[in-house]
Amino acid sequence: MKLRVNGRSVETSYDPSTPLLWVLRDDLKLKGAKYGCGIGVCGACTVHADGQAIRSCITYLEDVTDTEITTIEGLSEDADHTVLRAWIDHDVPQCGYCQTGFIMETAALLNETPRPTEEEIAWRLTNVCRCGTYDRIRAAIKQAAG
Amino acid sequence: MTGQAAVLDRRTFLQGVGTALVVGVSSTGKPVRASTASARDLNAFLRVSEDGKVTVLIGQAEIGQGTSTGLSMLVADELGADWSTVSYEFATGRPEYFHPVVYQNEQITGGSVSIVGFAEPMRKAAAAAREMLISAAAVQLNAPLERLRAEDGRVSDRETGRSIPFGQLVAQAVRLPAPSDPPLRRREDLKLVGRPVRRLDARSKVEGTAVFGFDVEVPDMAYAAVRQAPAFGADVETLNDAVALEMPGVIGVHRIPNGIAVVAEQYWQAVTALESVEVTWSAGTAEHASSQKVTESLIAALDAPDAFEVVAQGNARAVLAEGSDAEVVTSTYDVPFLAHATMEPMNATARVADDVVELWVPTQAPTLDQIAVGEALDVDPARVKVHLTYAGGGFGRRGFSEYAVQAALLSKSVRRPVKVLWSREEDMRQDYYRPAFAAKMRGAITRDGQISALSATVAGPGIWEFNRPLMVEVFDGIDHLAVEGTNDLRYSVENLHVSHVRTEPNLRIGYWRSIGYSHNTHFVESFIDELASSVDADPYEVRRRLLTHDPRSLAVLETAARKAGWFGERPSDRHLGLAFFATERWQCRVAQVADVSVIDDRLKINRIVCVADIGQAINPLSVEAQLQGAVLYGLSAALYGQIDVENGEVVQSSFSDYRVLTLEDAPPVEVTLIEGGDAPGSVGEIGTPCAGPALINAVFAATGQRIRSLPLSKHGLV
Repeated sequence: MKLRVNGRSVETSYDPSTPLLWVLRDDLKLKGAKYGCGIGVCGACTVHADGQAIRSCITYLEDVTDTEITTIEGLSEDADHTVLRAWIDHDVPQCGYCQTGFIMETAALLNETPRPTEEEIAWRLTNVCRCGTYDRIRAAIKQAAG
Repeated sequence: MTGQAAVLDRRTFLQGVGTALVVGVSSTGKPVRASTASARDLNAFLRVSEDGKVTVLIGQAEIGQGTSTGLSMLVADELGADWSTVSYEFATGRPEYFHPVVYQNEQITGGSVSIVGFAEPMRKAAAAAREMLISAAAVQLNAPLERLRAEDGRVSDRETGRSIPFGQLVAQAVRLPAPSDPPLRRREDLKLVGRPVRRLDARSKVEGTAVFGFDVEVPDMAYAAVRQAPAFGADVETLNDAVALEMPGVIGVHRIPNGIAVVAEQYWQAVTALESVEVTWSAGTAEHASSQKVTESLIAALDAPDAFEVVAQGNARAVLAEGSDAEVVTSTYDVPFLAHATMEPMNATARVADDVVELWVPTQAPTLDQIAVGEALDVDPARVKVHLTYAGGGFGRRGFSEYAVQAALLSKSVRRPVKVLWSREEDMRQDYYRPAFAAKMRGAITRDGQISALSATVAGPGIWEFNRPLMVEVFDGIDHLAVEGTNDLRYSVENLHVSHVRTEPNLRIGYWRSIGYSHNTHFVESFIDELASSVDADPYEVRRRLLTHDPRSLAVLETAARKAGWFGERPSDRHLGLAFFATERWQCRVAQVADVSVIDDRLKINRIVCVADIGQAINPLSVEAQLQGAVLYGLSAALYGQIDVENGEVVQSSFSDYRVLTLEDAPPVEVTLIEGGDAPGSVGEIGTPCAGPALINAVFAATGQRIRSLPLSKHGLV
């Protein structure tokens, strides 16, 4: 099957019923999206399909062959996206495993809603962080929103 | 317009991504090649390349706690490096990485002693390297040693101003003898240490290039999905893998200790095939265990006549029996089993071939992995090479080696490298849990708020006994991990009695962030408030009176209360709850205040104020993060944390039914650091113990309801 990922077309021989997450990670070696739960609850697997945040662990390969997939690796040219920079400025990551999912969700949110309220942020960012970096995530989003 | 976009062939696409064999994990996120000819190891902790790059070699695991940056700062400052040239790599296999203080002959990260243990040895190593570089410069500059100093990545001559960068000195330096006891710089001469410094691994974690165990790639690697016996102590009885063996990509179906594994070319193929395997299980050792029975038996155990006496100070029993001019309060508490629920589920990758046994593990205990795998394969543990990767959270879970053993056994069977990835369901159900505990607390408090006697009977399993029985023998039968937080109180209570009734574990039990303090500080701090309330005394005052012998404790307590608005007028809709703990074990004093409101019968946590005296902060930016994180970890557990057992099997499976704190419900955590000492204390776990009791005490202030059984979610407020 053909996929569009980070602006390029690529072939995969993985079964169409494979969740996109495993195609990205194991076939295309794009390790930024992570496995946290496999049931779409924790958000560690978040990528974009046509700019919309999706949970790639519950999105099947056959359902995204006509979309533009963007992963953390392709979010910006030199990984200098506003959200990434805000994340670094605020020294957000601890273990770091959930962070790319948060960043992808945030990037999608800010694209749709450039100045989200605290409620909108809380409602939208259901991702799980077990290290408890939520204070700095809020600060980073505030900075990225400008 | 030109025609269709070209479809890149796979190889071209992958070249852009980078799939070099990872032999080491670096802070830069870039793959570490097998050898960089121009880099020299000056000792076990330091490598300098001829182009001036400084690599700190670290044996302590990075599980999120930030010690890899802290240790790098210590080394960089002592060496005199230019911070922009500094990175780190994880390292194993040398005795220098054995913990010098806490774990004899073992490379282990646990108990919040990475900085405590390694600050000095790594500074000494950096100082030795510095002296070697300076000596090499003395030759090249033809200058006396006294005029030379190492700073900003160069050795400079104070008099002539001439300098040579480290990179041009290292080839000569490594030929010089290492000084055995090089002088350390004075604390005030360290440039980074003590200042807020951003983590070296932030960029790679944000870009997604940091290599976790889940991310490891080894050529010709196969994947394994596992299913382990759901009941504690059970094993496979019958197995029907006929369907699985015919499924796409399946290489084999194998037995592993107390379970089965499907090995396949792709992970999803392994997962899908595993679902088709029919297994029956033997009975577990605790097959009738249920949460209800466990709690009932813990509470019944509180009255056991043969409780093991841990502390008998003064005459608590007599004071509590008499009563007289004191109010005597008795209360029973219980807390449930808790899961670690790290974001990255358990996993390991192994390559077993001929003479080679190689592991890639996000581990807190490389030495224990070597021992376990050595035993499983019947090889000398010293031959097992462990590569340490980043770990997506540890919290005490990653010191057990089952996943490494699984990967090694499977790799040996299929004669290929095998990556074992646990599903979230496996991870949730095959934990080494924080045990369920109960406590009967009794205390006497005078009408004017002086606690004169305190008695704690704690019922629960021996955590050391289950995992390292030697640690109980060494301490004359006291299981410190079960009772810490009751037998080491900072409060000066004249009459104190502590006893422990050891019960069956019922599940595998282990080390959950702050271990014994996670349940005992909860019991003590909730109960102190009950005592205060029984005579209408101020919970702050009651504690203050018991801490007058320790000014640093008083300072922490007072600062937290003041910042939370404890004194003076309080808004009527905001309610405060206080908790305090201090321990020699971690050289810390911590006070927290939970600020809550009740809106439409629902609890809202407005903020948590957390004040900690941690001695000295190596990196205050990192310490703040650890306190915030540990507070929220404890808060999540107090609010929702509950692992249920039915017929000896864990009920919960994932974040859907093991609820955890998300951004929406996480309050801001306002941290104040006090550096009241002259050495760094432990940081990683100290924020957790007070979180639960501060919350419970605030709930009491807000509603008059005294919660004695966690989690809070059982009681309808959240």
